[in-house]
Amino acid sequence: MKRALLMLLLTGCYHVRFDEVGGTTTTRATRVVTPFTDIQAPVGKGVPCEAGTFECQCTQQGHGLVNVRVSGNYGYSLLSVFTLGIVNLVDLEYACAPQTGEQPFVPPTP
Amino acid sequence: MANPVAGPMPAGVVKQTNAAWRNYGGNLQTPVGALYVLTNGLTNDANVGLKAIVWAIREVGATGGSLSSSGARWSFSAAAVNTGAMIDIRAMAKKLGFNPSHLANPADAVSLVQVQGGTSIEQLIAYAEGAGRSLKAMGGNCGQTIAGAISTGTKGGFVDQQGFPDMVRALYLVGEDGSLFWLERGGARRVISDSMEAMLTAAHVKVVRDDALFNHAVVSLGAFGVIYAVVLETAPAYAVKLSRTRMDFDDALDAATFDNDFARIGAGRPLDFAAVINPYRMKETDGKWRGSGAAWVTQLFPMPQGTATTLGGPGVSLNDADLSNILATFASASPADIPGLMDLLIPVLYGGREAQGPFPVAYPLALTHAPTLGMEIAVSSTDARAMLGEILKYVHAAPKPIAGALSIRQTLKSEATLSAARWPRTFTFEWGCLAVPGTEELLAGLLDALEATGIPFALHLGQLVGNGWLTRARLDAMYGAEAVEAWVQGRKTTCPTGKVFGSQLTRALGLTP
Repeated sequence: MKRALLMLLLTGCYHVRFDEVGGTTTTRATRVVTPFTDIQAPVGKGVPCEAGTFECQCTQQGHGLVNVRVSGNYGYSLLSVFTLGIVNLVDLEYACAPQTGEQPFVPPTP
Repeated sequence: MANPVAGPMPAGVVKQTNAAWRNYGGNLQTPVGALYVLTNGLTNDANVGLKAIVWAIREVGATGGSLSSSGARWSFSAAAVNTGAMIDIRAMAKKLGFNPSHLANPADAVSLVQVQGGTSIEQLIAYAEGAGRSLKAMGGNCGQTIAGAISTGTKGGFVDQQGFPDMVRALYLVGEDGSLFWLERGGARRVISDSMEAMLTAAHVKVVRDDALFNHAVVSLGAFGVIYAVVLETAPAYAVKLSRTRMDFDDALDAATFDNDFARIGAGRPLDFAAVINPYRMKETDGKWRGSGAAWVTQLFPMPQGTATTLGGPGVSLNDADLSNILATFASASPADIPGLMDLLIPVLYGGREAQGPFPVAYPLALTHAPTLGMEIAVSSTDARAMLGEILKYVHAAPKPIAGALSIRQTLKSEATLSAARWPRTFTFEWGCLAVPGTEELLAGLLDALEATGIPFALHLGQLVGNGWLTRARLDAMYGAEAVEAWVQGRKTTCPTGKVFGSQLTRALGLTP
């Protein structure tokens, strides 16, 4: 039973969560790439949202994420096997959603 | 002119220093001293976005620097590349609604749509549809920003319509010292009313009504200023039927492609007609280039309003981004297999498809992560058939195979000074290539070969321009030296010193300092 519980805890599951409404982005991914801006964004649970990181651009500027793509590769899979599923690497790519909607055209205030 | 001090950073600005930038195709990658990511702020207020643009321009100008605008990063040319500073306006995608009293002709409130420059073509289509309208023409994709599409002269591919730059009725620009400009044509194509002009003038927006200047500014390569908003003319909403099938490139398809004799392939006159060919299936016989199963032909026909949406194909639904990466790697390792590879690539990435319904069904957003390369060559309809022959001669004699397909489309002449659609009926030959090392050099070799034939042609300035092949002398030869010089002089209206806006491309062509 203990062995089964241990195996369950060590399985290679992971989850990625983008919380647009709450303005925070949490993920257990250990590697993040953002080709839309080419900024390495060190996001993760407990990591403060630093100005300049991409998810901060989205949430601090009032819009969410779009074009989220999660991918892995053969090396990541091997690492996962060798570590009995404790370490899982994924590549995350994402961009901020555009700010859409309609408003009346008004000349700017001088 | 001294640039005003920018002042404290306003809302809507995120400034990244020493940022990495790359284009969508992946052939351009560069560090950027300062990347200004501009938005409408937390309140999603377009006026916040406008002030953010003004501030960023002033900050760069105050330090004697220069900048370029970066849209959807769609261009393969360096039209958007400035290693000193770049402005990213992709977030600004709101529709700015006109009141009929704003317009010289209040009835235009139905047909004109004003959007922020960062609006994607996909979103623009949605705005138009929401107002019971459709775009007058389309190109092959809809991921570009509207500012980027018009600035680089995206021509569209409708048989009897002009392209994107000619849908534009007015431009709202931010000039080099943060000055605001409203540019439009005069006469019957005037857009705003006297009362709106007075409101804009009171808000220190300079209204310039000049046809020649407008034609220069609409395909500006970003050098006339940052495009804050664009006013476009739309058409009443229409439904479409799209059909894409594989065909032999025989006498009938040749006549449909180059003579608009669509009856030869059993079809009526389409809105949009594109023949994508595998050059390695084409062979010359008796002076004619023909190929069995060489072409994938896309036709778009108008349908009655209210046509129900039906979708069919493609039969293969692989992730084209991953697949094209795999194919590019394979093609790099084994160039000899490229001709055969094209037979696999084209059907999978551009295979058979049937769709009908409202206008947007024909233009699904095709965002991929695939590194690709493209070049587009425009010629007169009278030279189009000969141009295909010259391109294919080069392909079959080239030192290495080109890992790409060739799309043949047509459009009507543009009024824009630097649009490649220069002939009354302009045909375009667009390469879509895998990102195989050496492809740009092969395409530059093609340009050398085409230049030697003496056939006049022009290049789409947002696509590959030959890895240094395109020079000011060649640009003058393509577009006319007087016209290019008029473009340079016209730019002084919004950029008196000419120093603030510029990119690697505009500098290489001697268009900006």
